[in-house]
Amino acid sequence: MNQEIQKEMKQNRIRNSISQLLCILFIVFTNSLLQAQTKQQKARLSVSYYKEGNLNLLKASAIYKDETQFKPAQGLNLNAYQVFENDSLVLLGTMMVNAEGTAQIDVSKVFENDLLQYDFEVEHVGSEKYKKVSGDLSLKVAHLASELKPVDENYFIEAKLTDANNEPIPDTELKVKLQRFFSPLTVGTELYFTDENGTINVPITTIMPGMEGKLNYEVILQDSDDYGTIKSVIQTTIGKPIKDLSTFDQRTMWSPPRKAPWVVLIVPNILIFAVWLTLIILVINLFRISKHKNKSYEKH
Amino acid sequence: MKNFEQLTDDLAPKKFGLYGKLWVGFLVIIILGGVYAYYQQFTKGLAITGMRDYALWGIYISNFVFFVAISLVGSLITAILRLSGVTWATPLTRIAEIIAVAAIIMGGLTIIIDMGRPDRIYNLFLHGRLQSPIVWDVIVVTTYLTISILLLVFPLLPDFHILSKKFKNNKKLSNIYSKLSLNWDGNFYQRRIYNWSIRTLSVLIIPVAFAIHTVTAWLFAATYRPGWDSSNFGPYFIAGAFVAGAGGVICVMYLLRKFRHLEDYITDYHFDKMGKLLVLLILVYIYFNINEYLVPLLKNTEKEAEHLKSLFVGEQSFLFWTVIFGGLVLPATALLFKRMRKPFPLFIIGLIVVIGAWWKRFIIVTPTLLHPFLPIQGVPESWRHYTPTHLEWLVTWGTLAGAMLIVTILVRYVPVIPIHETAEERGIVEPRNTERNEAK
Repeated sequence: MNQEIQKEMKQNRIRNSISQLLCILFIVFTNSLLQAQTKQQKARLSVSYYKEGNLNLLKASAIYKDETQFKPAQGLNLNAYQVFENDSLVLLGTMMVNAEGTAQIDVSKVFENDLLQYDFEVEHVGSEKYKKVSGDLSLKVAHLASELKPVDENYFIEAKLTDANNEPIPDTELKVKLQRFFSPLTVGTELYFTDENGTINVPITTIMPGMEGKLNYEVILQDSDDYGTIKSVIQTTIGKPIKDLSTFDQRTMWSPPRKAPWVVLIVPNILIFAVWLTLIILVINLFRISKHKNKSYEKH
Repeated sequence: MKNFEQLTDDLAPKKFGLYGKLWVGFLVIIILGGVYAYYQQFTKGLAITGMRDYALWGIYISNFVFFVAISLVGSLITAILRLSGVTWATPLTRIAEIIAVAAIIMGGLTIIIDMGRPDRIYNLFLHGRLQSPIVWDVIVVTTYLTISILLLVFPLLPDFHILSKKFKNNKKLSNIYSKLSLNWDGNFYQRRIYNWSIRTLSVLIIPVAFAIHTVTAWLFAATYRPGWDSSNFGPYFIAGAFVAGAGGVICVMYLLRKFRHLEDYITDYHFDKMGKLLVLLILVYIYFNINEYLVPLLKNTEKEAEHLKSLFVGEQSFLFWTVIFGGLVLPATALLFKRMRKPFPLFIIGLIVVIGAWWKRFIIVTPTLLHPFLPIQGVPESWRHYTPTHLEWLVTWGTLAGAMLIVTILVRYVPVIPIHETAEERGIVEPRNTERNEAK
């Protein structure tokens, strides 16, 4: 009897200890969650400009410092404004920071005003998760034009960088690259500097292969303090033509679902049908067993 | 010899004691941790894992392959041994079926966990290509799960009937078992349907079981990647699966025997037999391993050499040799000695084999991905290595605990050794039949 009481007391002690442990864990867990929910983060915001053809983008990048490392300020709502000389603001639109910590808004219409300089402000008005934060950008207008020039049997890429008054912009770094699937391939040296006429001349020494000879080159003014990032793309057909060996219209193992080989459509479907028909019969058998209650034990 | 009442007393499900409840509580805590981690992943995406552009399959897929592997034991013990006329495995059939069901449920769930956007899973059915092994895998996993559940349910019908009578003093429990028995009273018609169904399932499960693991192997082997590009992969996976499954059964049968006091039903003889079976399975698997590593080593193409170097002497070498020697060679050697086929040593060996089997899947899945044919320029150094994050481990532990909880719940509510079959094999007659025969 004493042993049983002792055993029960021991079990009670273990139960109490476990309950206490669970309570502590629950309190610690919920407390840390509550803290995480209520703590407002201070985001760091940077604003940049990107132009390609007629597309003009105002880009924002936002991060915040967690306990140990910087993380993208995902979900941060941003208002984009154009700032005028009298410090008046015109709302251009809103954007939200994505999982990579970036957001962008098309501001092409703004550039229809033909000004020499544009000022922008991007602002987060404050939220449950993030404190109020803002960033601004002052931008001079520049144009980057590029073309492919054949000289004898060689090709050159000529690019010209000009300002809003069509005056050349000298001594400015430009990059020339060949577009590829993964990342662009550098053409020649990493950087070229514009001359007094605002131009660069880059020889294409190696002709790369391309589908039907198509090669797209790009000239980039990257992250300029005055002008932002401007890209000019040249579409050419000077590449070594690659023959299209696509079997897209044939019934192959790598074609789309509708073009699966007949054997792949027929044989597995027959097998699936046969197996699942058997399984359905087996499920029905469960109901049949249920219905055959209290029948004779002997075969009739 | 025991009479029917003693037999049902021994084999009927019993309430958990303190250790049983602690075990369930422990599993529930781990599962809750896994659910929390998965919630983080669901809201923030797969970026919270250690998987990146190179190692796009990590411990989730290793875990999936492990679950599929261990689920194959249902077909080994229930179907292959049964159809071969092996009678000693009868007490182990229910254990094997329970493990199979638990493993395949969690295997299917693990695939969904590995998806970055599980809310888009319907696209697999809308736009899935019948040419793709991934679609085959979805079909065959679903089919195998259905067969495994049916193979668990059918033999349970007579047992549920027996339990409904045994617990007649507990009306609620008796009613539940009575309903689960689907009005089973063992009449001629029911037996005829029952026997046909079991035979059909026993035959059907073998090709489907082989298909499930072969298709899983093809997920890898249908690519040109070093370490996976092999025509040997299907049988290699199946051989490994039987090893993992047999190890799993040994562990569960030892624990059940110890905590449910089933020494009269799961005897040293059964452990000896399972030990011998495990040796055979490991030796076959070692043979396939030699094929898998020796042939590429002889060919020694650039990428294969890079991959094998990382396994043999490089970053993965410690894990690789631990798994090969610790998880296969040493257990097989130890099991050649009779004393190591006693319950406790065999349990330890089974445990080592199962843990080794999990890490073997990791060795198969991840190192290959770290040696791509088309390296991308300027990727961060961290992409060239894969280290699972804490949250990833938590999710994985959650799925493993989930499988163990399913096993535990089934062990709590269904007889872990088939009462009906055991009675028949031992020539013990159910009292009702005796009365009926006497009346006749």
